[in-house]
Amino acid sequence: MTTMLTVKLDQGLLIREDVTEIEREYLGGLGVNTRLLYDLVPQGCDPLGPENLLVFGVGSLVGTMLPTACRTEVTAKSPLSGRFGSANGGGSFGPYLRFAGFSYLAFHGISPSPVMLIIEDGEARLESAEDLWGLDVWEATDRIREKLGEDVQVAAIGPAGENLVRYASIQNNYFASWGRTGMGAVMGSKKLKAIVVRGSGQVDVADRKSFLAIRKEAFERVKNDPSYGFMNRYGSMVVADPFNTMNAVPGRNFTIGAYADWEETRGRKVFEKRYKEADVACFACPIACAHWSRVKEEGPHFGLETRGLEVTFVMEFGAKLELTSIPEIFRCTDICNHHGMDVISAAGSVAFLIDAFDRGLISEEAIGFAPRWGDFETVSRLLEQIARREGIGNLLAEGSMRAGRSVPGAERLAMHVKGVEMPVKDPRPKCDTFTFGYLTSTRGGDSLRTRSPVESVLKGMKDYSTEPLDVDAGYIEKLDMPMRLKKEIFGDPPQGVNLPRVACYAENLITIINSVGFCIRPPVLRSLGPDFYARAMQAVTGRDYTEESVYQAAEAIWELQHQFNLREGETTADFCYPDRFYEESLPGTDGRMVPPLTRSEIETNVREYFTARGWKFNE
Amino acid sequence: MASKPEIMCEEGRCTGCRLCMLACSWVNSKTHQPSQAFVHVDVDEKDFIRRITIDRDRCTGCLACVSFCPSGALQSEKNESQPLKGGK
Ligand code: SF4
Ligand code: SF4
Ligand code: SF4
Repeated sequence: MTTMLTVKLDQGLLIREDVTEIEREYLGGLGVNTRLLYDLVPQGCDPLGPENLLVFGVGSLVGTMLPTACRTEVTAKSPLSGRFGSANGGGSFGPYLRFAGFSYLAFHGISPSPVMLIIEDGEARLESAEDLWGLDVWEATDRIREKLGEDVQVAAIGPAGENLVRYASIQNNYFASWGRTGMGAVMGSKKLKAIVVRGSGQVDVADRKSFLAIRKEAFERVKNDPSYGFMNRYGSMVVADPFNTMNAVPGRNFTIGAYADWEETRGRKVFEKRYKEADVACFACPIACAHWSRVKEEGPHFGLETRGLEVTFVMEFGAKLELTSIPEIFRCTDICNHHGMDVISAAGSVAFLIDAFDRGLISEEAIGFAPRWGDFETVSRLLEQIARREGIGNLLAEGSMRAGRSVPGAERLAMHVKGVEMPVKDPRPKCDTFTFGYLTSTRGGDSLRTRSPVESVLKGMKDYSTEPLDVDAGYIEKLDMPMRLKKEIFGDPPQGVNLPRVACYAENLITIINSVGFCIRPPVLRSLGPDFYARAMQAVTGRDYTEESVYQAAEAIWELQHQFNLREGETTADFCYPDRFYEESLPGTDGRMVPPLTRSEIETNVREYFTARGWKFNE
Repeated sequence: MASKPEIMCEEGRCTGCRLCMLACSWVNSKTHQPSQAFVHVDVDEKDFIRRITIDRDRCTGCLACVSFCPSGALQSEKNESQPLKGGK
């Protein structure tokens, strides 16, 4: 039986429900969350009001020893976009929730006073969190562990969540987070400070013999993927240097595409040589893409230890805000971890402010000081102000879209799609699947739901709708992907990558991954597909699945997210980048200028994408 | 009875993945239950201090944990582990 704990916070009621049937149809994690959100959240409701629902959905393969099966999806109507909101996190929260006997947690209503939910091996209770309210994530986690034991898993919000910063995150213990689309603000609005889990039970599999064969196969495929070694060595930093070479970093709020000193100051080799100390993994993950890091050089950050560096952190703080020192980037990331804030939207909102200040649209008096690019004091001070909604932080806590609308003339400086700040990469040098995803993702300006299993960091495109093929025909043949789609996407024989169609496929594949609870890092994304997941789910759950049934379930899940957004008023016109990408050239290091995107070409791709999805494109 | 093979622990290499615990619980009870594993990995996440303990009395010496360990934190001179079995 798959169990969901429904928590009615307004009445303090806890109800156990059997959701086996929903999970059968919607695969798990993200899929089940999507169905619940669509069914239970009324159209037009206030994302920070009592009608919103906050769901934690553990992937259906989590708790097993399958590689990277550790992930949990958190879903609610987003206070940042006003649409479908969702964030995915690793760590160990999901596995231990399942060891405690629950796969889903659904929070309804608003508690009259701050509470935490405590789950210990099948027993759940609400307790006052009055004494934790106001503490940052680390302080709260420490306090909880002092009281309940060092071995509990904690999902908590910090001041940003309490203060309803529209992009507040939820943190798992100290470093893992559910970052995007403001799930922490929804948790804060419900006065839910933390969820505490102790699980010592078991996760069984239905067909042990097939399961063992599948486990072996999965490990071999993941370990044999060429990206495995790089991922372990650099983590996501592996793409930091190629993006700079491509002229595609989001420098100064997407106005500079590359930096001459990038590799010497904040590239992957400097990180590896100077700061990296040990590999860190999420539960059941053999890849270990995270790294324990320490600042060894003298200076204000000497001795700082953290889990880093991620490409997101270096692009957001190191490019978008131009901090050139890795220790400063570590420190800013830590501020976000402690306060419970999404790094991308926080950096995007700060970048908006500095951009607007530079153009004379916001005065020094309004801000309280003169903010500067590349200035640690500026960035750290604003991050703290945002989390506490102090001074100008109150405006930035609303996100760049809302801030842009309230400052005359500044709307075009807000770099978001559907209200959600775009991450790490500028689409102008190469509008590939990664950046096209900012337009099509059901959760707004984000790349993580549209990562292609044939992603390439080669420069350039063949044309607007065709990415160059960076793998050989043998690779395509081996790729775990339905046959009919291979022909449609790569041609027969394979010639290139049809961008709108691979975007659609990538979204469906990642929907499966986020539903079963695997990780989307390249060694997994490239080597395992719908056929594998169907067999794995069949072995673990004992339910019948096929490559086609799993793929169709993913399409249905995506469709429900889209329908949710349409119900909230989304239109075709929302599938659009900010004007800056269509109107301004992007300077790189060598004096080269990257021309702006052509609106009509992007629209053609969006139309093709709509066709692939079976949607109507309204003029 | 032949003596159990020695398992060497190099905590500095441990990533905290707990695959050893999953493997051990599988070998001994055909399920995933890390709390019942004979090898235990505790990670102080704030400082990334890792502690590996093996319950030598209950450990059968099957070396599944060693063969699952992706980082080389667990090692044995005898490097062949018995294959995992499914049971009924
Ligand atoms: S690859 Fe990295 S993010 Fe993914 S599960 Fe492993 S350690 Fe976690
Ligand atoms: S050798 Fe076997 S029984 Fe002993 S700790 Fe490792 S997996 Fe468990
Ligand atoms: S399998 Fe190895 S790396 Fe993973 S927790 Fe166990 S000892 Fe550490």
